[in-house]
Amino acid sequence: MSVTRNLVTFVRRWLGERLPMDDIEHFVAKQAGKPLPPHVSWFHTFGSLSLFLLGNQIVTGILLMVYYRPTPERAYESVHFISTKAAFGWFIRGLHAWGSTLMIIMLLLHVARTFLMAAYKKPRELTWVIGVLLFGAVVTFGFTGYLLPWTQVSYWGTTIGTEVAGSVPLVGPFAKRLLLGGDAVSGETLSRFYVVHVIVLPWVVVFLTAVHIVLMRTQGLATMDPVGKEVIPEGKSVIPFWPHHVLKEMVVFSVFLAIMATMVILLPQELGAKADPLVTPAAIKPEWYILPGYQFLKYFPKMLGLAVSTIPPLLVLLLPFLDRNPERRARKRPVCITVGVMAMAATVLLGIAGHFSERSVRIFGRAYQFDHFGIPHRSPEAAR
Amino acid sequence: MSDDPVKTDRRTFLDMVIFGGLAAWGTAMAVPTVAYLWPARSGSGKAASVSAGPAKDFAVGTAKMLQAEGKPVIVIRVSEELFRAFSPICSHLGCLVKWEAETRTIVCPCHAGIFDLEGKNVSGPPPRPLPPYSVAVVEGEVVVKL
Ligand code: HEM
Ligand code: FES
Repeated sequence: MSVTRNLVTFVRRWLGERLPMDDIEHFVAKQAGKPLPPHVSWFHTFGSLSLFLLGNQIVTGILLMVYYRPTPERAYESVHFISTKAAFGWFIRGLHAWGSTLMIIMLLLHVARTFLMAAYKKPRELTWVIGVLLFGAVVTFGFTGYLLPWTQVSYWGTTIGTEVAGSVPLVGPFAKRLLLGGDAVSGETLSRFYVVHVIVLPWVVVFLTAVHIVLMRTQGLATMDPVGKEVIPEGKSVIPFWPHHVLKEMVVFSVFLAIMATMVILLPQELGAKADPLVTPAAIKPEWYILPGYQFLKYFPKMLGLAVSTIPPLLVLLLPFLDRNPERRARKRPVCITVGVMAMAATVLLGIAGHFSERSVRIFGRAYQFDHFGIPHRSPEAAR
Repeated sequence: MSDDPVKTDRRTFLDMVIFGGLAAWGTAMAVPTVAYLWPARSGSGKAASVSAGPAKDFAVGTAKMLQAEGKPVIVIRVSEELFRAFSPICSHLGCLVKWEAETRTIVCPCHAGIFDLEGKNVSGPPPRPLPPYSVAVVEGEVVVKL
């Protein structure tokens, strides 16, 4: 015991002779003891869980890189090796793959929470804007990571995705060629996506997250008071960050990790067939979080669709500047909440339509063929 | 500039040199970076041809998928005399179309786009026909000119 204490004293003195330790300790103590507003609840852990998942993606991603090979000849085989031969490789890969899906879910919950509690209003507009950029970067993580196993779905999913980018007027063809590194998905594309996935995006996301968190910390978490009338949390009802909120976070992390590990074990990630540039398989669909946007594009002619589809993300990005109502309580902002909830419902419906489109499904013993637009038609010949 | 009435002091001038220098340096670097990332032309660019094998082994009403110059080609034997070849890259979102023998149409597996034997888009989302290639039987061999 006393050995450790002596060691601590020694290190402190040693550092104290070289650094302004008093200032540093004062800063750490202030940060740790930061009082949080009384309404801070379990819903406020969605952001922390996103951070937790970001850490999971970085650690498991580094481990996957050890055996992964970014070439068309070896990518599929190396992922197969990781899933079947490398000790616990299936577990690492499962954590990374499920982690990406859960991260998107967690971000959506985090966005919903900050939206419903109006935490994006003045002075936290930039926190929101950086958050939206982060969401975009995380989706790009998903899109680039999708190609890396070099399977049929990843190859053709990427073909369709880059083709959509290519149909943007003027810059589209240029952007598509730059993304693909050629005219079609090839080894050049794989190498470009790999570089973006393992180097560029991690730095971008870590940097943006750091700014996001510094902003959140310097401004303090939003209270439920109207803009300009925020009461700085103090007194008996506040929740100290340390240890109260951190404990809450630890509970959530533990439960979450248990759920994630269970998913990895019970719902293994399939690998599917290796990419074949000469055969397009039937029913290629993007990942679920891209599906609503993909389906949305179908209802418009190509050019118009792309123009129209930039509007919803722009509205989300600029939300803090469009919504000028100072109120934070949901009941006092009926218009904003109604529009927001309707937009969420529309997104879910688009996702469902996208999921069923171009598929035949049996509902109560009847066969239905869902067309391109997700509209069901009775299909007597398919009823067999 | 010499008759500019605004006086520039030493500090402002230094700021201008530093920021201007950074901007110039950034712009100068952007050109080689974009050029570096811009893919080299794929394929030789020369008019090439590719063989789809001997005509006698090519059954009427079937199709073959070939690859030439890194590009896919679909060849269909419509009848005893008639062959057709297209770029199978769907004009909608780039999936590869397939020959469907039963309906004698060309279909796209991605969004059920349908093309006829001339490569014309007849139903579904594809906005344009499939680009055709010319095919000829040369000394018993089916040859596609790219
Ligand atoms: C990598 C992605 C992200 C991470 C790691 C992250 C992390 C966090 C954390 C830990 C907090 C504080 C606790 C909480 O409110 O849950 C927070 C607050 C906040 N986040 Fe995020 N976030 C991310 C993405 C986003 C996105 C996509 C948005 C919105 C579009 C967003 C908007 C906000 C806002 C407005 C706050 C302030 C909340 C308040 O003051 O009450 N964040 N973020
Ligand atoms: S890609 Fe062929 S129909 Fe859509």
